[in-house]
Amino acid sequence: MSAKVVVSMSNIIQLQDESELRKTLEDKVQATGTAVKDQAIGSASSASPVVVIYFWADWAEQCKQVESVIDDLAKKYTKTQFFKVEAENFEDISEAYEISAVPTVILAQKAKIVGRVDGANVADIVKKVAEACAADNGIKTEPASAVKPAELQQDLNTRLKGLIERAPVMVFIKGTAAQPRCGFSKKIVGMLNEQNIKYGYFDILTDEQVRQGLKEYSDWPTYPQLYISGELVGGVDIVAEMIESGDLIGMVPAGAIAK
Amino acid sequence: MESQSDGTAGERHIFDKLRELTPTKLAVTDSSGGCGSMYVVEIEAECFRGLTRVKQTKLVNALLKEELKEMHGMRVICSVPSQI
Repeated sequence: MSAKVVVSMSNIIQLQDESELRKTLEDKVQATGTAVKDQAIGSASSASPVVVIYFWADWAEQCKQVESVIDDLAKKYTKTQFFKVEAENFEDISEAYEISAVPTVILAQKAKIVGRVDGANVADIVKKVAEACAADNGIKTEPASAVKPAELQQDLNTRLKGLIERAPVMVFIKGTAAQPRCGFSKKIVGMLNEQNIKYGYFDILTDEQVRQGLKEYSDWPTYPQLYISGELVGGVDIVAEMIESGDLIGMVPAGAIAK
Repeated sequence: MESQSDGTAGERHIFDKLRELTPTKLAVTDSSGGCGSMYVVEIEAECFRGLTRVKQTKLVNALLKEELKEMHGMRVICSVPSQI
């Protein structure tokens, strides 16, 4: 392992001038957007590095969440250049990349767009940045396997069971209990807190395998999901009904009610 | 039980699918203002008797597998017919 290097945040900058971006991409971004549009969306060649361009606006709520994800990714992929572009201040660039809404993340290699995520799809952003930037940063990517060997599936089931049983009352939400990232998740956490229930939580935005796997495992299509003593109780609507009917408290083990 | 004559195509489609549970009462409402992204289903049927809420909802979910993929959310309110 090489000597410890202080990581400066120089690989992520707030775009001040169009020329900075152009210089990095070593190619002109045409105002009309035709040059970029005509480039085929293709796979990364080994020659030039991938650049991550994050388009945002201060009036778009979802950008806060995506921005923290971008900051985290910049810390991980230190050899990759990240640009934060305030879309309204850079209309030419936004037009060239066909930015119709924010937040949008573009993965560019010279004048080619090698990937894009429109909207606050955190899981997709993490996945695409990983796929595009791993090579430049010397990180081995694991190929996504279409068919899950029986062994892997068994490991996943064991893992999911372990997660479900991690606490007597366990909730799977988007975001954290302190900072839920979706209205329904926020509601269910609020209800549990109001009822003075002690619970564990898992942020399904941090793990795509759990996010998809748990839906299949429990045959329940949505999040949040509440489990008590290892059993699926339901989502936010069912929990609300059960609180109203008084049924929920009856299911909670004594040790999980905060005095 | 007659079909819902008023309502969006989405509502009628879901309504028709849920008749398979032979409900005694059924109402399907698009709560997303006609966008088809959020539905509220109120359904009363004998088949729900004795089942947990999760199991009741799963009976409904099972009939709407494809539709669930298209929508953002669905609220299902299940009840059993009152016994006289």
